[in-house]
Amino acid sequence: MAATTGGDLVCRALSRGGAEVLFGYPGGAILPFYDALYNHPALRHVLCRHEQGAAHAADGYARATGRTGVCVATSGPGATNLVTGLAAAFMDGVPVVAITGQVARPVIGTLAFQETDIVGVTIPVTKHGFLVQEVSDIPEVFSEAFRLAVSGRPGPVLVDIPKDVQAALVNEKTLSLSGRRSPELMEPLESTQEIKAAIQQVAKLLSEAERPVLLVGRGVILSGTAGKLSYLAERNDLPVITSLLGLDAFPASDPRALGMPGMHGTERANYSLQDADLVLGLGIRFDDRVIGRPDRFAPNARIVHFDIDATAIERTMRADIAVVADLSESLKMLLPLVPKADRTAWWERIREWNREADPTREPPRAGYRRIGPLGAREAIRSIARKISESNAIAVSDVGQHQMWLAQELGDVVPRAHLTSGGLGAMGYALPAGLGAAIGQPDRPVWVVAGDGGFQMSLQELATVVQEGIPLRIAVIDNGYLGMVRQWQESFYGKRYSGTQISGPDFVALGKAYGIPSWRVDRSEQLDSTLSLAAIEEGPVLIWMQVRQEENVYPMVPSGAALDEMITEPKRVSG
Amino acid sequence: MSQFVLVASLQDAIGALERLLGLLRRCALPIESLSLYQAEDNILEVVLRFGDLDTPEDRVAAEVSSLYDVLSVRRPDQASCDATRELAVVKTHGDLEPVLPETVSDVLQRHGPDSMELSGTPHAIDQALAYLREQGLITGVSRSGEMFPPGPHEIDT
Repeated sequence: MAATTGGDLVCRALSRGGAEVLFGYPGGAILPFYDALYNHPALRHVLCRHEQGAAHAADGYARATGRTGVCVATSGPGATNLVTGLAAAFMDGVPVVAITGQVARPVIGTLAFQETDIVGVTIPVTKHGFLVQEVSDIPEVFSEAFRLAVSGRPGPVLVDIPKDVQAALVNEKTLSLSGRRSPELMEPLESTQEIKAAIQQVAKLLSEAERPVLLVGRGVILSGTAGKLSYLAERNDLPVITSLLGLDAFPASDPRALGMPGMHGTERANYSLQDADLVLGLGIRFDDRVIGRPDRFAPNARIVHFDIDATAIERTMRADIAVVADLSESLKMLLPLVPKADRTAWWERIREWNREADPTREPPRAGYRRIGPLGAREAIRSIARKISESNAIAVSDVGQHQMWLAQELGDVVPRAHLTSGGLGAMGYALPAGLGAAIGQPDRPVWVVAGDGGFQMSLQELATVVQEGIPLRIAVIDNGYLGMVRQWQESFYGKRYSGTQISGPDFVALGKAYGIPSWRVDRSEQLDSTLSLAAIEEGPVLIWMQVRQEENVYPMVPSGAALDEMITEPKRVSG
Repeated sequence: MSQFVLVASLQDAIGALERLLGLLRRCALPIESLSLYQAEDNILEVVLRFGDLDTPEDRVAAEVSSLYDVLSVRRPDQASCDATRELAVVKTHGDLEPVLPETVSDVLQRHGPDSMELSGTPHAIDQALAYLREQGLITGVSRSGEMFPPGPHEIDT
């Protein structure tokens, strides 16, 4: 049998792992791999314009498809540029395998050109990192990397390969397992008997509860249990509150949907949580933006926490009962035990909180059109409508527009709302959107970004054009880093320090890349511009210049309890 | 002294120890003592004793278990904790009393003109060192960290 190279083994291992697309950027220490890639046309390489973009694109691909995303970078700066993207994937439980070139083994540790200990650098933001020391280890390491990325709570895994290992020749006959012990992966710790006992307790609590709520996170999407969730909610007449990353787990139009909880959650969601006597957390990690002040979260409720990740239990919030298991298994056990219920009294109470603070929410009267300067929330509401109508994937960046889109998002199916929730990485939307579009080529993808975040990754417009990706891009431009400005307005006496931001003529920018682009700054232009953009095959860019100082409400100030919401602008202090 | 002790078997791979220590520091867990030795080829045994924890013990064990290189985590029971041993090498001024109290003599293995070797439970070592410090006899101490005898009385997490 002929000898092959380490780089070739990597390509073959990627194919075995199910990879079809690699988002990457070549460089010196990864050259032998790229040379081997030349002979593997089934592996599509997408040349991003920055390694951070490559990592976000792999993340977007993974979130939209449920498959593991792959990104590639060279050593040193190439590798360190991946870090933000890996951290975003780590925080939100997204399976990504990142491949980095490393300097050759003999010079590791000598501060060689473009040398960085990337395994060390990424320890806190990956599930694991491998430094491949022998070419014969490559198949086994990649097998483990792909297995680990999707096991338990998914996440990123880094594989760092010295250049001489990529270039090394190996006879495939000599490849053998290294004898390395394969540690048990993060399977649930509890035995089935313990889970059964816990679930029986949960069913009992549900039958006794008068004011229960379901608090749903991304775990429902990862476990493919949106259908079971709907059944549970319907059978026991349960209100469903969906976190930012769980919005696409339950239809917004369902009468039992209360929307998003937490810092910019709906009144009905937050007040329901605070008044509940039972909170069932499904695949949610109770993060600080969701629960507000931990010691005053759901003060009257028993809390049940379903999660595949044992380390999520009691990380931020007490759990009266914890069910550590894959939701698909635990819900399968729970559903037959759940009694049918009618919770009319609870729903009447919830309806009292069913109002919104946004004054632009009222639709214009028949025969009239809204006119005047464009509002940001108003613009995003129109985009959200387009997203629902076209069964599109929505990808938001980070900031005010992200919250408005979350508040306005209509019915979307699982894996159709992508955003950097945990890390809150500005610059995420455009590259993640292009990754999502490559993974789901038959579905429209809308990228919604602020003028700040968009300018962090707009170099990826070139990738979009080179790859012919029909993204629909909306840049919500208020001339500020809007969310930071809102905090400065609310809590720092309107001292707008460092938050005014200028930008280019985004229409000219789009056109420079060959992208059909429009500008809209008045309400009366909104629908016609969106319709014009819809005719184009894409990519398209719409520059939405909106009123500058619009705020996101409701808002729970940092460190406050959920029922200490600011719902009206006039109540803002400072 | 805290009785919350974890014994982790760890694959001796690149970054394995850094990952474990990084996790413990990120979680701000108060480490009272840490000892490390090679138990088998490529397998490290790490014994961690924690101070007063704000974090539930189960979650600490789960966090450590979640690391890829960690092959197993054991939480020794009381009997095992009682059987734990630690070695301390103490440098002294040399003018040791002719008769040492039991707190020291019980753990004293041997002594020379300016050093002594103590072995016993960590608690007993603590007491002996406290006495020697009070007497102003110590000029330096080196402790091994504690070691657990493997046995059936250990509880796997």
